[in-house]
Amino acid sequence: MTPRDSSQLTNRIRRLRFDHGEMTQEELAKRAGVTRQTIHALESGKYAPSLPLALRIARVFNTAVENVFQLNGCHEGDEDVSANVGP
Amino acid sequence: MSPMQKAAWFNLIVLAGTTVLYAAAVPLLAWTFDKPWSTVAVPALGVFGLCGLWGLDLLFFRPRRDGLPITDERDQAIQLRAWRAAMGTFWVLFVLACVGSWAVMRALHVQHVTMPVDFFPGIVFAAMIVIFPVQSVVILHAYRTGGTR
Repeated sequence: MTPRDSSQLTNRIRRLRFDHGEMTQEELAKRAGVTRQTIHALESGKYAPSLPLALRIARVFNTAVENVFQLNGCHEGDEDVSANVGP
Repeated sequence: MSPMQKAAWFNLIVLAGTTVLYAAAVPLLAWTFDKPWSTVAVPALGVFGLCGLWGLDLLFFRPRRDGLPITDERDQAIQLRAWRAAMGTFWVLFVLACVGSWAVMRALHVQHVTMPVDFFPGIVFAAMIVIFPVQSVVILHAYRTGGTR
């Protein structure tokens, strides 16, 4: 499997679920197309999702993926990507 | 518990049950046919044919009525990790057995040996006996730890 280090990735899924009418893990799982166990593993920080799954979860909450998942030690503006872009 | 965990437990229980049956079959056959244990030990291995019950683990992967997927990307990642671990384990044992037996025979100055034809399907049988349990143990461990490490 492709190793994805879940130790650096945090998320606000639990918070967002409660903000969205106390959505259950099962309901979120159904809408994101995964099993309830995977949602539980995500919330407890045991599993780092693939990019498509992260995007699907963000879409369920109608927000940007950055508002759901955060990379520890990496904040917006840390890296000026525009400096690497050519003219 | 996910279907893969259930299947892994099922596979381990089948193997444990079969091993117990084998342990009981050897003295029973020895007593019944009045033969030494060493003589009946190999024919009694036929009990491990019950490991064919592993094929029934597919029953755990029936579609769900509530529309949720049976497995997802995490399950597939765990499955792949378990398969790699199981194949790796079998490969190491296979190489050790081949090189080990070669080294022993060289040390004993044995240049030629004969093998029963049962040896070749025996390799496949041994592969199954190694791969399925290792895969099951890795699956159960991966679900406990999250599956990504």
